[in-house]
Amino acid sequence: MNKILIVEDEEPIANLIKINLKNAGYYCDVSYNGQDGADKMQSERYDLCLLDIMLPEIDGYELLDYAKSIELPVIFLTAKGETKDKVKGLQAGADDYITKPFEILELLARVENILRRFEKTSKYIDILDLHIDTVSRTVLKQGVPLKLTYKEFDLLLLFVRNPNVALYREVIYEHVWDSTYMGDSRTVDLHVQRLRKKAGLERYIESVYKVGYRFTTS
Amino acid sequence: MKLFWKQFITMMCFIIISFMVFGNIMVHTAFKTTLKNETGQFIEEMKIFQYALVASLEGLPKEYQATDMAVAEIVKSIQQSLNNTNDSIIIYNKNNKIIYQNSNYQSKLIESFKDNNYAIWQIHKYKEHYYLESLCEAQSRAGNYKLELHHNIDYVYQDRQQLYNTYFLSLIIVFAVFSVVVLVFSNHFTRPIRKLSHATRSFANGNYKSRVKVKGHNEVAVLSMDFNQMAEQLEQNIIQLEENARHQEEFTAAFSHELKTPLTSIIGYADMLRSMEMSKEDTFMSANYIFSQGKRLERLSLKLLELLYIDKQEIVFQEINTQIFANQIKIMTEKLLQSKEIILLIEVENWNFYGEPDLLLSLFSNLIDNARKATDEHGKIILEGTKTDCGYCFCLKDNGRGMPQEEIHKITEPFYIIDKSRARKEGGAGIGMTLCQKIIKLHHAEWDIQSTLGNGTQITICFTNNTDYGGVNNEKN
Repeated sequence: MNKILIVEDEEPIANLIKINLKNAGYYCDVSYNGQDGADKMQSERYDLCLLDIMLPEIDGYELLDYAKSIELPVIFLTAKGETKDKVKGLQAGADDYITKPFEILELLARVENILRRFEKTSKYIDILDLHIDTVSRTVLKQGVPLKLTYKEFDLLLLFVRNPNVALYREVIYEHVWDSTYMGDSRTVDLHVQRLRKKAGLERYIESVYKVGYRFTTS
Repeated sequence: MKLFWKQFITMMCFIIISFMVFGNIMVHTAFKTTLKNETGQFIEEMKIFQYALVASLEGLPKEYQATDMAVAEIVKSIQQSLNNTNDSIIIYNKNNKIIYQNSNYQSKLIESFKDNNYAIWQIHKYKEHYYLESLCEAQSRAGNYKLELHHNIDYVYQDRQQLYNTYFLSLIIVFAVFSVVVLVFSNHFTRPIRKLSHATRSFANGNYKSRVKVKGHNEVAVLSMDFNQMAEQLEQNIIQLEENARHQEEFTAAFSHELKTPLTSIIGYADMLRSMEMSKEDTFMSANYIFSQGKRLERLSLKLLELLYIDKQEIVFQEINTQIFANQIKIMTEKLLQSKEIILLIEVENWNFYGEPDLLLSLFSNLIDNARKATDEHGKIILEGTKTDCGYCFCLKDNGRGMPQEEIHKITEPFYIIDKSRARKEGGAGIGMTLCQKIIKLHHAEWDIQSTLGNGTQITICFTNNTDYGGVNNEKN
């Protein structure tokens, strides 16, 4: 299980991130100020740090320097959304930069991405009777390879990484097809149905009335 | 064309033309004088010759008709006796026929001689030489003859040429010397202008510190001083503008941060509520977060509107009685203070002052609200009002937790919050003090904040005697 440190002075936001990361299967610690964040970095070993820039006591940039010195990957999490702020953050050595307000799915995707880049997470996902290789993009079902299209594979990844979450059609569309949802649900429905059939997940990918789909492992 | 070259060329033209005119006049006058002297002398000579000839002819015996040959001999002897060997002589008889000539000089002067003339003369150029020619009659009993004399005056013309040459040489020397002098002077006079131009260009290119050194009191120095003054003023304005822009930018950045933070929570928790099955407690917590963050946004927008309102509103100052005003403050803040059981003590001297009542109420309720947030339950807030020499002063004290000395000057910055976690719970938006400062500025009042950590805060606001901007009217009391 990956350990993630959240340094965020806004309690509601820190809590929000914590709940969602826990749901996605990470272990989380929260610091509400820079000093506490530095202390936690020192005493515990984390795989990733989500760092706010405007923090009391020690600000995000200083904390970033410290995190870099102990080789802790950092994602900046901030309301400063201007390009120059992003450039400044990334130049300072942040591994990614997420601006508030953000969507949970986006946050999870970025977290996953950074963890994978630093090889903190396994490239294999074993769920139910599926063995997924996220690098070579292959899926084995009980040892037998499945022939999935590019989009179907992305769809499967999205489901298995967000278990027990009702995924809205628009959210699915925006994440898998990477463009703005224009109200055409047929593309999503078609792909979900084919994925269900190919991977034998009819029982696990549930339809949620008027919303979309939910992946359950039970 | 550059001013430098204009000045240079103008001065050179003037000098050359004046020298040329002056020189020409000098040479010409000298020439004329010499020529006149020469002519006078020549005519005298001729008169002597004529007189000698006539006397000689008259001296001949009566009834003796002289032959041309004899006349020629007479003339020859006269010439020898007068020692006049340089001039060539021609003698005509009455039929205008040459009877004597001592050179091969060819003259046409005889053609312009009329019968009634006594004598004529002219300057004639013959074979590249200048001659004075003169012709006169010598009448006697022995016969009428005409006498013509030629005198070489080349040296007069040569003198003139030499003068011209000398003059031309001196002109060239003068030209060279003046060129250098004028060049140096032009350069010297246009240097301050060039310096000024350089400074102006530098200023235009964004170097607002660019100034000119001012020397002397001439026009350029005055212009330089004016430039410096203008540059000073512009620099001030630019600094002011940059400052304003920076403030604006800071405000926008802080505002966007304040806006995005609650939005992140609202969107995030709402998304969780709609897509996850959560426990009852989590559902309640999420909804509560959405509510509190929504409230926070509401407060922010209300305060912001107030801030905008002050900027746009036209302010009318009214006379306000301090005791009535203090009472209004008490009524307005009573409910709020009751929740924490804080006591508000009011000791206000009765007086009248000018101000905008709504804005002032907003000012005091903001300050009292801040005091409330900083004070624990059963705290005490005191509002004192005293008449002073220069106006009227309100003093607001609380026995709350105060603030660190170094933070005091920052509290009027928009969205600056000293203790974030506490202020959020108490419901602060971070622009209350910015608002207060604006209101105070509008009233041309002054305020002073004293605070010690743990001992409470004291804010003094003084309204001046100037009734134009809200304040105290002494005469009415």
